[in-house]
Amino acid sequence: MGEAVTSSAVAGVTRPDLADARRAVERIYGPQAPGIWAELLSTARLHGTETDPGAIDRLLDAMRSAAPVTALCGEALAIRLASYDRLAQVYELMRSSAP
Amino acid sequence: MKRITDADLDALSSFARLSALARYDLADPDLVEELDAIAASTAERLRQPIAMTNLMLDSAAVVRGSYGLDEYGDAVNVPIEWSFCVRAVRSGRPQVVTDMSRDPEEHDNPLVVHQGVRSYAGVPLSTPDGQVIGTHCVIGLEPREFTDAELATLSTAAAQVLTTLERYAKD
Repeated sequence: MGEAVTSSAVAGVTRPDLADARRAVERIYGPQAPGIWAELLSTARLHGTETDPGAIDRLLDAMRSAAPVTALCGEALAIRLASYDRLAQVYELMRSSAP
Repeated sequence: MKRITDADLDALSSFARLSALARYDLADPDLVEELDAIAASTAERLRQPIAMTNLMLDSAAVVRGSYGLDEYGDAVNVPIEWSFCVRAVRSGRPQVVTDMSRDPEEHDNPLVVHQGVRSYAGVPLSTPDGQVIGTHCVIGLEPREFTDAELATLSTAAAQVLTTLERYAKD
């Protein structure tokens, strides 16, 4: 397992992790969520407690290959992740070049 | 920054709403090409540099069909916190922001701060069964008022977007 990743909010957005993905699945599927979540974890070969950066990537791959609504949820999380990384990098560059 | 409430998240996460969105073959390049053409026409008619069809997922907005956004690549797809279209989708009504830099919810939006977005007009896209799946909208780089006639033009284009999407329904 890789190094654990924690993130602070960038413009109101945090880098999504497995817990965020689980909450998203729960909001969409309600009482059916535990079964769907377990299936996603199984497909991604995850336990659900991983915090390394590769874990969310594997889960998003599994989500985007799942049923259509789950795939849309996975696409949304992938957009959040890419947007966070892009803006965090810009802010880091601005910080490092500040006098 | 725009505050996204639990009620917003619950509404955007509605299984029925997301299922309505998932009916369409959103990856079909022919669909994107047709939506690009509608966006180009909207931009020309409203004399705005950017126009697009924005589809609202549960936690992010994704552009399918646009004009004036080529240089931004995938960065046009954003978290709902940064999407100007959330208000129109949640309310089901057209939304206008004449000057983003003075708007209490959007003035510190990174698209306003870093990309220079100043004005917005968007109308909701409602499917035949009443699900609001996104918007058709224009974005400007200068503060701008929009007339009723311009909003009517935007609504006509939104209807055209929905007709186009229906032709790409998977069922």
